[in-house]
Amino acid sequence: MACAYHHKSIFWPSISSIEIIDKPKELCFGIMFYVELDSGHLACDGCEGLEEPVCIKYCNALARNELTEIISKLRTTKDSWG
Amino acid sequence: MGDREIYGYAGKILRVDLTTSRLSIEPTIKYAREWLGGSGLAQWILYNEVKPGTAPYEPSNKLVIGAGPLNGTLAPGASRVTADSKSPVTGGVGSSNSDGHFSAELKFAGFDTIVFEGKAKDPVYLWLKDDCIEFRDALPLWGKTTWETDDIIKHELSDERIQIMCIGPAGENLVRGGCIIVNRGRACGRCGLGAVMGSKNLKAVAVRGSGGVEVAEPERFMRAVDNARNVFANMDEQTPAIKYGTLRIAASKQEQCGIPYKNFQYLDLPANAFNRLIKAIEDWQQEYRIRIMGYPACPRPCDRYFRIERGPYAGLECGGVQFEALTDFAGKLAVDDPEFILKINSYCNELGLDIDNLAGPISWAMECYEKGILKENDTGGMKLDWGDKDVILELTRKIAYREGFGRILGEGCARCAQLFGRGSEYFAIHMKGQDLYESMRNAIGWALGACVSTRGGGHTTGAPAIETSGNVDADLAEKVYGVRALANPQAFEGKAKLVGYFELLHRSNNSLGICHLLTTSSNPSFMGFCELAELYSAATGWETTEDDLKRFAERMLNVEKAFNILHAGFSRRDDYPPPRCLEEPIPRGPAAGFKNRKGEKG
Repeated sequence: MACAYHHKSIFWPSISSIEIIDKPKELCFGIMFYVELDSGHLACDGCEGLEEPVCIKYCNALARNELTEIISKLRTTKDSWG
Repeated sequence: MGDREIYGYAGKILRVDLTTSRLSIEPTIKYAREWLGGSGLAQWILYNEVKPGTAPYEPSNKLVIGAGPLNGTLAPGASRVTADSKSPVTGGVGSSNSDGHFSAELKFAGFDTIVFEGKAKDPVYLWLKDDCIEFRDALPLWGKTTWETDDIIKHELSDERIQIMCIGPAGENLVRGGCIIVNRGRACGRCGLGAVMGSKNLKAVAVRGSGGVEVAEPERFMRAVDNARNVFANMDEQTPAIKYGTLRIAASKQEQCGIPYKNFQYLDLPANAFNRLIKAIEDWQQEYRIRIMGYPACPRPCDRYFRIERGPYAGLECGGVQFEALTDFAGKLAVDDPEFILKINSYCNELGLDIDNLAGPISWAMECYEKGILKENDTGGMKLDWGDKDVILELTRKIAYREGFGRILGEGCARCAQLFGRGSEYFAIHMKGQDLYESMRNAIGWALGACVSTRGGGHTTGAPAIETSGNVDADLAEKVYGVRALANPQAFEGKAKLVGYFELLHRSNNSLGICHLLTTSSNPSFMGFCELAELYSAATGWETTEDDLKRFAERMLNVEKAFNILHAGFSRRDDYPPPRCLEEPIPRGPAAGFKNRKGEKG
């Protein structure tokens, strides 16, 4: 929700660059990033210009580490996907 | 602000007539300015549209499932969904709510509320995907557990992101403790609302939305969100509230004589049983695979999903184990096997049975059996010994499927006692017919809140859990609640005022869609009326003060009381606690000897 809100000022998960899929039976979450414009989802720009990406800032304590790692990789390789 | 007619809300209410399969839509704004949303809006609809004299299972009773104006946003704890109807348990107000992803998804699909009326000819489930609304055949789902239902619908519709509220066999069979299960382990538990769904031949509601929620003043709203989240900023997986969820309060409840044992005869667990339980809760963290689960916008997730991989329950998966499960099973039923609590909690979720409304009549029956009031020829030959796991499992199955003695127990302890008589009424611990988990002899405010609750039992409708949470700073308590004497649960002073605060706060939360655990309901440092009013103002663009919010809640409370008078004939007499709570002093523990008193001023 934070991602779409950052880009469009609307809480709108279906355009967000990140999608979290709850998988209780697998005891995990699925985290999907859209690095290119895809099916209406915005391409992740790693929250360029912000000290901390909003998906990390508003993530609850549970997936923050995983998200930080993924975003960090995305930011590092930005030239190849942005 | 843009040019929408309404912000924060999705803007539409869906009306579903299950008898005629007719759908209609009305604008949320018709109600929102006076009734906020969620439960407030639902109660107003029920008050106006359900005639007194309507039986809860009649098609003309209505079931209202709702989201609040803050659901689908980043407001902390905006994860609650509400279900309201005329209750088959009390005959009066039926109002229950649950965490989960459903309420946000409902708003993303474009709706704030769904009002069901009528009765489908054959079992159906409602599939709502944005503007496409479809009745689907639920005959193949009838008889399935809630978990099977969840799996089948997601498979049938080829989307694991669908959010589902559904009932199990208990709701289908009109068991009064039939509840609505959300996200497999969460429940709109109390009041028998799953049975109302069952009476309408409505197996499930499935939603998926592709839209968004727009707020009136985006920058102001995010400032309000950030401000409200500050207090949770340093919490992580080791924070007890996250690591253990509500199980963490077991120790303080034991110290406060707040765990009813053997049908409320005692108010703490025997030392050995308690120590085993505490050790088990710690061991579970190490030995079982656990995933902590959070719901939308929650900075302090408290749910957990267990998978047991060894021992007699190997293979068991279980979500939604909260403090209430300890109270109901280790406490009221005296089960001295912590793993079994996971097992029975899971079984209840699958059957769609509220654990309070299950443990209530079983613990009543066990005490009556212990005292010789019930014999084996009453129980279908079963010996009802305390803590007997096989008996508890078998009775649970019988209750859900309305078989034998379970058919009677499924009516709840109040009706059971009425049926059997023989003095068993004294051992039926209920308020207005609703079975309780709330211990009502150790804490004056908690007892008062549970007593005057319009639905009977009030941990989400007015009972102040903060009273027994220990070490609340007196100055802060006075500032927030207007009451200093929180440190002494047995003190009368200020408790009426405290309950008044909680009656309004809980209703405000239930209407906005906010989890109580993120508010001053749980901790005086968390969000209070001031923060909630600011979030609501920024979301809707309707300037709303703290006092305005309290007035909304007060109006809602008055409507609930009017509903109870008109539909159930309740009066002040029905606000008195069960006789045991007034006649017996606490038999042991730190509060031993304390006895509540009728007519005491507070």
